[in-house]
Amino acid sequence: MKKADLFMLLGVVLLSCLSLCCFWFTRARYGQKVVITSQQNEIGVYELQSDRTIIIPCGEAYNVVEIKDNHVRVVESDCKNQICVQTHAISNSGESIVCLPHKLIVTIE
Amino acid sequence: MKFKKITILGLFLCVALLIGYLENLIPFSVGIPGIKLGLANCVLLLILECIGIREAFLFAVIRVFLSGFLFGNFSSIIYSMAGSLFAIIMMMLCRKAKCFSLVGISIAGAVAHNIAQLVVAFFVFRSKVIWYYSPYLLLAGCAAGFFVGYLTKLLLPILRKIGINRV
Repeated sequence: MKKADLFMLLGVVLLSCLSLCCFWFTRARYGQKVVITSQQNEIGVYELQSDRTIIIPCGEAYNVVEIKDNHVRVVESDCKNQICVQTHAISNSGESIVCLPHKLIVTIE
Repeated sequence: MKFKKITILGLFLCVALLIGYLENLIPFSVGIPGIKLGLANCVLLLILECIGIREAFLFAVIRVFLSGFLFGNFSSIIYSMAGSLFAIIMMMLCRKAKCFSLVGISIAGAVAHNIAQLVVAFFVFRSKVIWYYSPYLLLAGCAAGFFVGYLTKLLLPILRKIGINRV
């Protein structure tokens, strides 16, 4: 590795730390509401405290979102990569789950 | 001479496609969309070093289309095209700058790839939620870029030994 490599590496790490701090300090402390957006349209806003299961259709495809014990997760999806299902349950404000193939965002505000 | 170049590029393309496919098969997920090792970039780096910048650019574009048609779909082609183009442009610039080693070029490519995909995701979703992934993707790009760059550095002398250099 040359010197320029190290500087670039340091620059990128610094940048990511900076943006991490930015998001950390600007977020609201306690998440209350679960906002679900599909294909750029807001599907609904749900209480984080009340347990429920929501099925979100996306054409012929679907995602199943579960709100349980103040945590939200995608329990089921027929998307190809299953990343949304593998994402761990979220509970804090600013956290989100994204399903790229279905253009779905589940976020806590 | 020309036939040798075409043959080697074709062989490299096969290897890159296969590596990309195998990488998808291995269940490696950290729960953040878009994070992967990008081992196929190894091949691209080798072409950049051994054959030439123009060939590397052509290779990157063809690889995106082939792997998109074979294993992906339309939206995955758009994501990987944006990522690959930005990555190869950054790597070409870093190569021209001559002050970066192979590891540095690889890191620049990996980070550029992730940034481009984030921007595409932002335009697809039109939600600022996408930017929350940026620190993780930048760090992941550094780690993956370092690994791939180092691996390529190890592979380079072997390829030079068997005569794949400046064909």
